[in-house]
Amino acid sequence: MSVSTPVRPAPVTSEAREPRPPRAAVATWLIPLGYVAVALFGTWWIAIDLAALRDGASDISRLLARMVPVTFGLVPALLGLVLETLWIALAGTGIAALVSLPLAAAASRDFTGPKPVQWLARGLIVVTRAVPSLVFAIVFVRIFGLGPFAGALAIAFHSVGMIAKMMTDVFEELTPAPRESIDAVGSSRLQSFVATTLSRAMPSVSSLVLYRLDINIRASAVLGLVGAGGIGVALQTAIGSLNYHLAAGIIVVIAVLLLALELISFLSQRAVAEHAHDGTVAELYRRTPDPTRPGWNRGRALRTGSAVVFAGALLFALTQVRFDPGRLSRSWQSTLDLLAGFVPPVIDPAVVTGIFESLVMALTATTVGVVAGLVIAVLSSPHLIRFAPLSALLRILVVLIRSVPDVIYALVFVAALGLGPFAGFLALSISCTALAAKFFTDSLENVDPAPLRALEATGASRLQVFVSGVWPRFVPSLIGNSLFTSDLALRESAVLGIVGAGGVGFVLQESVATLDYGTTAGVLICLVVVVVALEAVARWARKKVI
Amino acid sequence: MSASATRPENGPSVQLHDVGMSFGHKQVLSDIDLEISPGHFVALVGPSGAGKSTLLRLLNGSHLPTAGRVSVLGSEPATCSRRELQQLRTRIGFVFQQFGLVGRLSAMENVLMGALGSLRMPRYGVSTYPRDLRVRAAENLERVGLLEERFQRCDTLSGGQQQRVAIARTLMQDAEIVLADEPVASLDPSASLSVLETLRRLSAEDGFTVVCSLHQVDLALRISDRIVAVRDGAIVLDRATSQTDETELRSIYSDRAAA
Amino acid sequence: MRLALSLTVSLAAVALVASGCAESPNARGGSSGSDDPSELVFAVVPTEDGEDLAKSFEPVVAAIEKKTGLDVSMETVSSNAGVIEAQVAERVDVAVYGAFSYYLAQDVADISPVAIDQLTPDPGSGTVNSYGVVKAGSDISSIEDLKGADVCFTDPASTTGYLAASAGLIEAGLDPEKDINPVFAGGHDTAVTQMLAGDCDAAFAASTFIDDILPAKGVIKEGDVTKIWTSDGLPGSPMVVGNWLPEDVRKDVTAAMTDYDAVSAAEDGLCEGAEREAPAPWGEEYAGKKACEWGGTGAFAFEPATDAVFDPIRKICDVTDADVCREE
Repeated sequence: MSVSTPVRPAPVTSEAREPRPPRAAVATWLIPLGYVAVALFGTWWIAIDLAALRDGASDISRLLARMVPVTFGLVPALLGLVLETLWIALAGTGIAALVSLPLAAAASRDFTGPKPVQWLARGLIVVTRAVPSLVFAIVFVRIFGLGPFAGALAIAFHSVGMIAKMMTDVFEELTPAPRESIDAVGSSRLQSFVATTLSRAMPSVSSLVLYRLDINIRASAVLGLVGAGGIGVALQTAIGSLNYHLAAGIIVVIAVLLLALELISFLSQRAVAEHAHDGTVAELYRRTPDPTRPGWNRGRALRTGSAVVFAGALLFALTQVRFDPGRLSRSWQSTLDLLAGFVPPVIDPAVVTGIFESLVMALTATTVGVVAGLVIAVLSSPHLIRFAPLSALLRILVVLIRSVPDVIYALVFVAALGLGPFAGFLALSISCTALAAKFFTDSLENVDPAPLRALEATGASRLQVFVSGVWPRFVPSLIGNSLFTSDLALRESAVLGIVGAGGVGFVLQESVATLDYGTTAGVLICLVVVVVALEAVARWARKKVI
Repeated sequence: MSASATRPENGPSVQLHDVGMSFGHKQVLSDIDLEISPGHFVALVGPSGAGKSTLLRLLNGSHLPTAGRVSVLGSEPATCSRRELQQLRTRIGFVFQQFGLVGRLSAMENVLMGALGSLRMPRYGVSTYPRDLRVRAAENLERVGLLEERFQRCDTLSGGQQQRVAIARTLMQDAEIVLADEPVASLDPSASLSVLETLRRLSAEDGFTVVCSLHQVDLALRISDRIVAVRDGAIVLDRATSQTDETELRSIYSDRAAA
Repeated sequence: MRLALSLTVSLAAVALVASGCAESPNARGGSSGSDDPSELVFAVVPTEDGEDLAKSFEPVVAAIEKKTGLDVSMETVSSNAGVIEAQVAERVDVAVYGAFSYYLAQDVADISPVAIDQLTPDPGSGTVNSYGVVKAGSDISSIEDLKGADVCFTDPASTTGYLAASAGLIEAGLDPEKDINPVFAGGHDTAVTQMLAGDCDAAFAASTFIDDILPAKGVIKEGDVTKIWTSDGLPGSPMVVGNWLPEDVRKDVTAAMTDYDAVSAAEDGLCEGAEREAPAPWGEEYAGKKACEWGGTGAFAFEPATDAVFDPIRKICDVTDADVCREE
């Protein structure tokens, strides 16, 4: 560094980002403290008793024993379901990713267009995230009929909320300098966005879209509601009829599918790695005698190849989910009737208690998940421990944990602990751990290595580099991702209904099953409120920390 | 290739009259009067926080003055529409301390981005730019001595090389003015000198005006035609470089330390 | 900022105090499976037509508490597998769920059915049916006509929404997998509405949906659908008790169910303040009397049940040899 202490270039956009008072640290401890406080309350509320878990160990092993030997039923039929699931999830995720791009760009705080557009984009993101795919499925099946198209669309709508939200975060984390310089050449907003924001966000964006694809494959159970079949329904049927051999077989198939996806994701991330890791080719194109003509080398082939493969897979998936426009006119009236059922929304004490319970459980489970996920993430990132087999092992472990559906965890804990919130809470904690581990691993990997190398060059130990180089830059995403995990856990809390922990999941499912859509609407409104509140805390925290 | 040949009028490149600038309650600049003639290389010196960056941003319309008039290349950014401002900016190059490059893209693509103002649609990837622009990008990379590195990822280049890429990017604009905000503050002394010399040479060849803020007094004396010193939001010195000596300039910094 | 801080700190303090001193609303007696239980765990899985499930079982819980002298903690659970596994581990003492769940559970858990719901004062009135319906004016007039048709079902593990119909098709000489094109709609209501929307030619669903729920919600109107097939009566929702409970407790639970009916429960004050008027199908005898909500199906009473009540399910499973019926 030179002797001068350069002033950060003044922001181009407005006074909004004038130097802030140095209160940055507040959010970094206030939010964790809040989590701990809620977790303490939750511990009491849930009546956590780890000794009971030990006492139930034999019941767990008896249940697991009933899953072996694993069977696969009719293998061609199962493979057919896997493919069907894959196409629906691909089409849904692809549509969602395309819709999310402009939404996230408009919702980002760097958006310089009209304010109402920004509010609208933010509102759409929050609402689509808060509405469970179950509800989208009910509506779309009325509009588009039974079949994969309604399923893909339900998945797409729900995914928009999460993908766009994470994209917004990615966009906002980018330094403003390149965008300002391209704005300064007189480019249009769109040109500048594509050239400086999208291009830099590409690695993170593609990894989060792949991650959502992973979630959507597992979430395909909801497709049963729209008669699209898929592997999720087969799994639900197997569990519902206590055919655990087949259930275990299906889980193995899902795990293989997710591991394959993880491998693809890992390889493609390496191909487009954001930072020049050792071994990354520095030359993006091969030089040819004509200086203006970019030639082909391995890196370019990989980049172009993966883009073509993904685009091709998406297009193919879209042809697999057939859309029948003629049906729209026929279903108009019944759709209106259905939507009319949502009015007036009913918010009764059962809904409010349900939301409260779910929120307490989600926050408590997040606290557990964040701590466990942090340990996994730190161990599997190269900052402290550089032992590739361990990191690979942990990555695989996280995928395996994720491929087992919540209902199986719930069953295992119910066998050990009986019905009630404790079993549901443990199941939820496991899914939170997997979520948090995934988020944290990714953001630890995305920490810019240049300053770390500088620190290492001063002779600092790995621990010192981690504490003073990595950690401060990781804290914003730690806090942001923790809040986001709670947000997702709130909706995953349907698992609590499976085991008798009440919560909003049970209320929602029951209201849908009994066609009590007024209550469904009440639940949705409460969910939107909670998600908006969490989002507001997250935004406040990001503002303070970043 | 000479930009001065295409310039329609020969009035001053930049004209500031009684300009003041404040953010909320904080007065950053006051009573600035400045006129810069075409083709000149002006160094803007002064301690951190003196208002140099703000002054440069007034010149490309990123900030609008809260008092007085700013006129750049015959237009007033304050009265421009968004579209007109965009057009004005295509004629003004800007070089940042942090280079403002997209690290994971190639040098060539970053240079090509300088021409986005003359294109309509967004672009992604070197091959999406028209061939004539690629020819010019290669020429400009050659002019800053980086032709061989054209397809290298920018974040694998050295600091000095990255700043040259940024300069090549402004060349794509055929800019009439290049504004440089501490372009060498994060570079080592030898890279700093060579970057500034490149800028100076290109300015002489193409005839564009340069306004360059600098921390290093010695570099300012070595490279510029004229030195403007700013302190506490006001111009405290403005004269030809040949008539300025180092001690006088240094006092601008040390006075502040004494005060 | 100070406000946020003090709120957080006080929340933490409250949490600490609460966890130190007070009994959690979810705290457990934790004595299930022992010879001398101090608390019974009662689990309920929603059947299709539950209104407010927890509330409708409150009088039943009160009756059991009164007869056994034990505390009863009730859990409403959305997964039948969850309840059955808890029964396998002897952690749920009493449960009410669908007949097919019992058929699955009796294989793995040590349980007995003690009572089954009865919708009116007539014994056996708790049986349910599966209906096959078509859009009014359809060419299809009997189950035999379904050859080659698209048929909407609920899901493969539903008795009234698939299994019974599947047995009916086999008896009519049709293979439910090959001779028709089955479409699983996910729910009884969707099976019917999507049939009306033209996604399939016929639909099978539980009788309560076609007779009561869908007309009451205005989803179908009189004359919208034509019934082409009705199944034999299928058992309703049984109450199942764990055999690990001491004999006297099991007797008391059974007595609580069979001694009371919805009206006598109301007279005994088991649902004070939540009484409803006896519905018309209960007949003259009860007209105008106060009654309790008596379980999730709005039953009149529970009648004693034995394993033989479930023979219709066994028969369906024998006929269809369905995957979901297979024993471990």
